[in-house]
Amino acid sequence: MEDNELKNIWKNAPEKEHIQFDQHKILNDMNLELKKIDNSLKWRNIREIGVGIFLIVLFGMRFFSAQSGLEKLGILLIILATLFIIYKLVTVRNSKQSIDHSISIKDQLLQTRNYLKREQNLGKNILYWYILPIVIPLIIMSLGCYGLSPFGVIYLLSIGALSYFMYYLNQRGVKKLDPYITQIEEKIQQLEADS
Amino acid sequence: MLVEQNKSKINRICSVYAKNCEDQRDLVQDVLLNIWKNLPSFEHRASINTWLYRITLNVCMRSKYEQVQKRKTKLESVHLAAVLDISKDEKYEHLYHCISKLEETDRSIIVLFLEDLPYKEIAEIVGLSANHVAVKIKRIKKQLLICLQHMEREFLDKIKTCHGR
Repeated sequence: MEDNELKNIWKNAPEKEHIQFDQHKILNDMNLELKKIDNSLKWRNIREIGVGIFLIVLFGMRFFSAQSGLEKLGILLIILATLFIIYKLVTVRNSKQSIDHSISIKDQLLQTRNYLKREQNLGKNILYWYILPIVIPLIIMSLGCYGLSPFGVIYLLSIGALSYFMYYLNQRGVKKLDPYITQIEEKIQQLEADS
Repeated sequence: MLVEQNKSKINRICSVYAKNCEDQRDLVQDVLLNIWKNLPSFEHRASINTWLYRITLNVCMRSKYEQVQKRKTKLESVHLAAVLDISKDEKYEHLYHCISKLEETDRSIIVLFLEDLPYKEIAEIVGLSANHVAVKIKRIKKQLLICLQHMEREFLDKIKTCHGR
């Protein structure tokens, strides 16, 4: 079969289109959809920052009524950790939106793989950038506030259990990305083959 | 309008990456949205065609890696045609079937070749050298022709069987 014959068969496909565009509505739809996406991104960031500010205000108020220095230190560290986590979440999520579809396929595959690896590393290291920065100040605050009283011990155990649960859920999620990363790496290899 | 001029190309390419019509519609919607989003940043470093093919193929290839929680786009202006029982052109069906059986990266290269793009432009879109693309196309075409011959033989056998009855 000649190249031209193949190309003709391929280009005759439009007669069999299943998808139709309504030219009059498409412009309107696109603008609306982009506005919706922009709004949802804006609200997501506002929500995350809002929760962070709420926690900072809550712990900030407690800071002034705290009795011991240890409790104050714990609260201060919680506020700093909250600021750090907000920054981390917002920057990572924003980088997800800046995927450039106008680059070459090879670059796009590399970009996708790097993005998934970044997400995976974020999940793998959640202990260091999310759980420990919050749990350690909470422990310090709890020791300063309740000491090793029965309530204090229960409080510490609850923090430990909750942290472990969060860690476990994240590690499970991280593993789910493995097959996607492998698939993309296979595709990069396929693309580079035949040279 | 850019989309109007290229809608057939976008449809053809999305069709080989979609599992069904619904899937194809979602892909077309994603492609259109991405063209729209990226249009202001188009820098004329590549031709508008190259840029458009890049977006279409990248969106199609990337679609399955998007997180499950990704919000699905629903544009009312892009819809399934009311009449789906179109007459079947066997040659196109065979070609479509054989392309669908190729590896995903090979699929992207062969559809660009079938769209009549020069090797240099395909190389720009894919991110390989023109020579590398030429070697790949030669191999993919061979694979495609074997598949097409096989499909044709099967089709002729089917006709013979029907006439024999």
